[in-house]
Amino acid sequence: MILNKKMVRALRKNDADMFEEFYVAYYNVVYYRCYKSLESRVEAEDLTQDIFYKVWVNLKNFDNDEPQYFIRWFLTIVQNSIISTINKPNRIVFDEDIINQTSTSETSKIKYHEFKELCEGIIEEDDMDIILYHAYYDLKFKEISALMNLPTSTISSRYYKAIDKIRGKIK
Amino acid sequence: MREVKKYLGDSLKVTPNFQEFQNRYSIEKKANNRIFNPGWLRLTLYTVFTCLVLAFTIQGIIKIDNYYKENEIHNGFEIVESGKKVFQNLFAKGPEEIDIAKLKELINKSTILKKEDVAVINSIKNNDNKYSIYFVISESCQDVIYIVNNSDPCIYYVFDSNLKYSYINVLVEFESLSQTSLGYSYLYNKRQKFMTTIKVEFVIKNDLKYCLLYQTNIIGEDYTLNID
Repeated sequence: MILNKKMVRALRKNDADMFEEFYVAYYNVVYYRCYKSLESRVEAEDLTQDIFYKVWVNLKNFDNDEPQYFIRWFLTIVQNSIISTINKPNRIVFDEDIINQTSTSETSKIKYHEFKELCEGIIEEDDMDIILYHAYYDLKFKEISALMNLPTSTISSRYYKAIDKIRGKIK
Repeated sequence: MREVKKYLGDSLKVTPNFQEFQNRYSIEKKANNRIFNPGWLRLTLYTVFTCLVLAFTIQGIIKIDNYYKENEIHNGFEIVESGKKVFQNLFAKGPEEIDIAKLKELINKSTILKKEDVAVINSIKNNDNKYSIYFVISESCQDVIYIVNNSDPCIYYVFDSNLKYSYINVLVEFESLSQTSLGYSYLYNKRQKFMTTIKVEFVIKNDLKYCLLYQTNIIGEDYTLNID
């Protein structure tokens, strides 16, 4: 989903239909960012919902129709929410192995760590994000460019370089 | 691309469920003291304002209702002086809104007041005020006549009636004329509270003196009475 001014304006007016589109398009991006930091599926899902709720409530306070500003504002909320969750003094860290030993939680953790380990030392962390956004979450380079605040050409070249480096390893 | 997807499977993917989010959102909204949410704040203020308006309206209606209940039937013209009713038991309404010259003429050329009382009226300086004459049954024996300054109803003159008959006699005459048994209640005009149904007209006679004509309506029939 590539946001334009009209969409941002609709979002600012708390247009529920527009927000649903936005929610569906960016849900996994937010979830991935949360999961990366919290490494808990349950917490990441909860926080993702909380973040979208915060965005919905604060949309009226955002006073710019420019999509790039909107994305920066949105990502700031995401980042701040993650930081405040991590820094919460009474944060409850779920032991997901106990909650559900056969759940996908464990698989997620293992897979993510495996993939992270695989990438480490070969590509940068940002490149790993680019690979996941494009190859796993099907985001377009333009969308990733807006998310990472980098030119589309940079994103595409970094992606191809990075994917080449890990391609052999993930076969 | 396919390799990455195959490698990670659905491990890092979650299917977004907007419906669930909406449900959760509304639950959180309730929990989040939504009275302070701008939209809800406006609605809350509207509700409070509407309730206040309703409360005042109901109170007003109750007060008006009580006022009418308290003042439902009064036979008499009410003049309020320091919040106190000066007289009630109005029997008949004389000429109203007359100027001082006409008032003096009526008083001087009729026998409704004693000579000394006529002098009181004559002593009133000419002015632009309007006056009314009312015939009132006194709580003591003697009937009275009120002359009220319409511009300032607190300024009024009360004189003993100089008429040779009592007002009750007029009522009795009306009863015999109409062959109807009349009580005081007949005097009441419920639509015009404090107002009598009897009117007194000053009619000039041949000797250039005024005599009184009592007029009323009894069960749809007009009656006129001259007792002089």
